[in-house]
Amino acid sequence: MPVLLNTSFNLRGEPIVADAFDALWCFVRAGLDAVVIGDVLISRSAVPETWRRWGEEVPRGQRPMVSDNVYTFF
Amino acid sequence: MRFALERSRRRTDRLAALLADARGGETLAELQKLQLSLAPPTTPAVSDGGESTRIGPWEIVREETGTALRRRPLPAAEARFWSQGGDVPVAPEARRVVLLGESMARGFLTDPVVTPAGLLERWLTETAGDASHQCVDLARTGTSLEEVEEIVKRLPALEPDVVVLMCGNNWAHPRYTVGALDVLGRALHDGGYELLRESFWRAVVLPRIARLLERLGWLGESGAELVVVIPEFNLAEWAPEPGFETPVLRDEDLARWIPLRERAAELLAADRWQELLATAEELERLDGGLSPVSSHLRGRALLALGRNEEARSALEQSRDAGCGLLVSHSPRCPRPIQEQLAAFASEHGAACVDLRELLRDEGSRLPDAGAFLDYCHLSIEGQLRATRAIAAAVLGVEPAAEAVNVGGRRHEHAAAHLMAAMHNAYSGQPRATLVRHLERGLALAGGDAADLCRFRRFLVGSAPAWADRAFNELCRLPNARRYLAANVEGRVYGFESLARRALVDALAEVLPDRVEAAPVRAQDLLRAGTTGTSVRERAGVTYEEQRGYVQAAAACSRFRIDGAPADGFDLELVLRVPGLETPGRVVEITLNGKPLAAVVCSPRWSRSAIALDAELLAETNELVLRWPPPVAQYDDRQAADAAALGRGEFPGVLPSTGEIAVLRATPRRRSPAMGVGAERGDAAT
Repeated sequence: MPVLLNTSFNLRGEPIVADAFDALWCFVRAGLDAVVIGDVLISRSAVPETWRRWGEEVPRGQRPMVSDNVYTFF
Repeated sequence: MRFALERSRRRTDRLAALLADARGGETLAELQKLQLSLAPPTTPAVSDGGESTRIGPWEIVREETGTALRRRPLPAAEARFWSQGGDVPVAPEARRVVLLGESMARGFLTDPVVTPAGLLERWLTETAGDASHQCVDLARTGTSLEEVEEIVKRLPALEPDVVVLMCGNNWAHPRYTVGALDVLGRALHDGGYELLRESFWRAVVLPRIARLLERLGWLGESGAELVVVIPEFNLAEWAPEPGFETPVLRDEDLARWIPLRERAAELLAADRWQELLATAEELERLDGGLSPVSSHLRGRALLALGRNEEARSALEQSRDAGCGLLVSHSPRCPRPIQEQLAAFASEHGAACVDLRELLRDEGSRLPDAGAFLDYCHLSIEGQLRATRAIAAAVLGVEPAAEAVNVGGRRHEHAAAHLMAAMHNAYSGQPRATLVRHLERGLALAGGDAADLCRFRRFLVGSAPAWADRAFNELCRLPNARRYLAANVEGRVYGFESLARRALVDALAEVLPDRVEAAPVRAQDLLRAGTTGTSVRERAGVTYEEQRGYVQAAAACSRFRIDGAPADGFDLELVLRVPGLETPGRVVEITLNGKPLAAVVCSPRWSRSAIALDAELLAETNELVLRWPPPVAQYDDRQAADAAALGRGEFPGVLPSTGEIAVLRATPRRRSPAMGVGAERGDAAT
């Protein structure tokens, strides 16, 4: 069933994209079919092989540098 | 029900208020430690490892004729820390030599093209025959003391004939337990930063190394021959990293230390060695030997005066000064670890390859800088010397050959020095060091500057690394790719912080006829400096507090602004001086040596805007912020740091002369800034 799902443009654990480079990097790593930036449509088939390889190598979602301590009293 | 909820909320609010301050944090931490001390023993930090069939990227496989290692898939981000080698077959006729180590043993910046394990196997087989030895490369970049111990536990399953321990550079960055931090907190509380450092060695690091070596000794008793390599540091070339000059000192000492350190820099620049020596000695008296800068300056002066043996001792002291103060520093093997390794080798009859002796230049008494790529990682020349000596220890005789085929192509050898220039720049090393590596790379490439030009195109480009064509072209070289892959996102470990400008300047010196003018951009001056962080920080472990501002620890903070746009720059600053009680104190700001403004500072953040008119600017500009004399801070810092350690957190350690939240130069478009203005910080001039 075709679905249009409106969600934030980011990978899990990462900030929402802030500029065109962020959007492209997220697009490459998320395996999306296409992205529109301004009046440019980029399809997955147009992604250079080097970008795709980096996208596969870089781990998704970084753990936070510092974890918050949670205290439980009960 | 509603009433009960309301009542419990009042109680929890009250409890939250009681626990919200430092005292509350300390109380909670003590409750947790009490619980830990009463709890039944849990699994020790290092498991017994006996049941595990894995070592790094390999599965240990028992076959009829012996033990093999079968490569298993690992995520690329982890696999690149290990050897790229595949399966290790059973080789019953060969002596199995296992190499344990960290990035030095991995061949950082030359791996996978040239590696110590590969060279060692060549030395051995050149002398003893093709199938005489099998080298198993278990070195892993960034591996910790605790991880080495895990591997040592599993080694008996591999049935090694020889174990080479080429470790120690990461051991001054141990894995901290809450208990260890608690011990350090008490030491800091009782005896200041001197006792903190002393306790770090006595109570935390040396006992753990002893435990590892004891286990290694058992391996020796069960029949494996042991070879211990004692790491050396690039004493001749490495300058203290800019992120740490001194811990906070007692107030009157800090007030004298900061201007005196500035005076020492002037004396160094003027080659006034006798005066520099006296000044450095005075600095050391003030800091009690806790600063890497004072002893380094003394070492430089002694070298210039021809007192080489004393100079070596001073430079070793500089190398070791920050270890145990819980500040960031590059990997290194301080003297207590070197001595412990040497004592172990002596007590257990293990062969010892002491790189301090092997790499020593007999004239200067310092290690030969040509054997290094940075602080501790060896160049191909250094690896050849080290592995020849290890081969001699394994064989019991000097290898017959004077040289072995190193392998790899010249552009790959050259790339090691290109990456070394980057790595050195990242740690704020002098331009001469960067130039040395770039020139060496150019020579190894036979004068072909194509990769240097790619490097520069990438540095002056604006695309993120993964999308940059020049970056991707450099990554065709396997050793460059291994290093650069960690930086591909250009964010956490971004190239902006990789001292890009220092590299561009060094490249301009090496390729003067190929310089392209970089476009003038808005510049975030706080991001563009060197950060000098360690491998551990890249793994997400940092010793410093997580801050959204830069803490200055010197008399002056220096920044560089590139370019001279026709309409000048607008400079935006947000500053504060914590603890400042004297009204009317100013931060004096100069541009290219000329007074620009004086901004009245206070303990609260204040924003200022300054117009940098075109006539004040050159192609490269130096902006200097001179802070007021340091405020009294020792008692507060020590108490806060001891309390932080008690809560299982890391201490701040560094003094503060001022703090900067924003420092940005933006090319002016149309209307000029309003001159020196301020939301809170009013300009005095």
